[in-house]
Amino acid sequence: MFNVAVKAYKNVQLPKEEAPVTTSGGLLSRDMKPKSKAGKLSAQQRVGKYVAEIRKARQGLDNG
Amino acid sequence: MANTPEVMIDAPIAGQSLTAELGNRPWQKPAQYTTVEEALDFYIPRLTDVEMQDDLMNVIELGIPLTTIADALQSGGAMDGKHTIDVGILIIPVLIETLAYLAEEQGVEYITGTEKEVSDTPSSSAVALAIKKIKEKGDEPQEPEEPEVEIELEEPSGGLMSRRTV
Repeated sequence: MFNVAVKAYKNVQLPKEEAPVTTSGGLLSRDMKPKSKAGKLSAQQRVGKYVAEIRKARQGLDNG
Repeated sequence: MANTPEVMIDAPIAGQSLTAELGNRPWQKPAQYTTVEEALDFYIPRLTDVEMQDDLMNVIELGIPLTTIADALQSGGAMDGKHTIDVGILIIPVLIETLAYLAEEQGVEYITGTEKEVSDTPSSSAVALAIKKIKEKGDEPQEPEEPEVEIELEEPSGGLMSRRTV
């Protein structure tokens, strides 16, 4: 039987880990803080982010 | 292979959807929670509720897949007009992951529902291939069967000098 939940769970878009952006702290450097991309995320991406967070916590349970 | 239709015992009666005034059903009204976050704020406290957790863990321990539980939860919410079907499908992975987290926290074994089923029955393609091979064998000219060798019984020779058998 077709289960929509199976398909939704399998196709969840987990966020990719991005390398931390280093900002130069020189005197003449522009004091521009990187804009957060949280507002630009689509619903699917936000769901992926939540799933990744819960999964990380779940794996933390396994590891003690 | 016979393709038997699934028996739908709890299916709606034909025309049942037309028995109420249009817009009277909860799912025909604007949804209460329109975003993923709002819908999750509705579900997560219910899932983590201590009173509900016992029943939930019993269901999970029975072997009901988490996907089935999450799907039932969200479709119930959509029918109650809490959220749209779209939002319901979007939140399914979060619900499954939360259920898995709760089950692991309680030490309850669970089935996600995404595992591949291992069955003894061969696939339909394997059956079709086997039937084809049998048919091909049937078309081939069969080797003529070897004639049965008749065992000749020794007839007692009736010569004058022959030995007599008692």
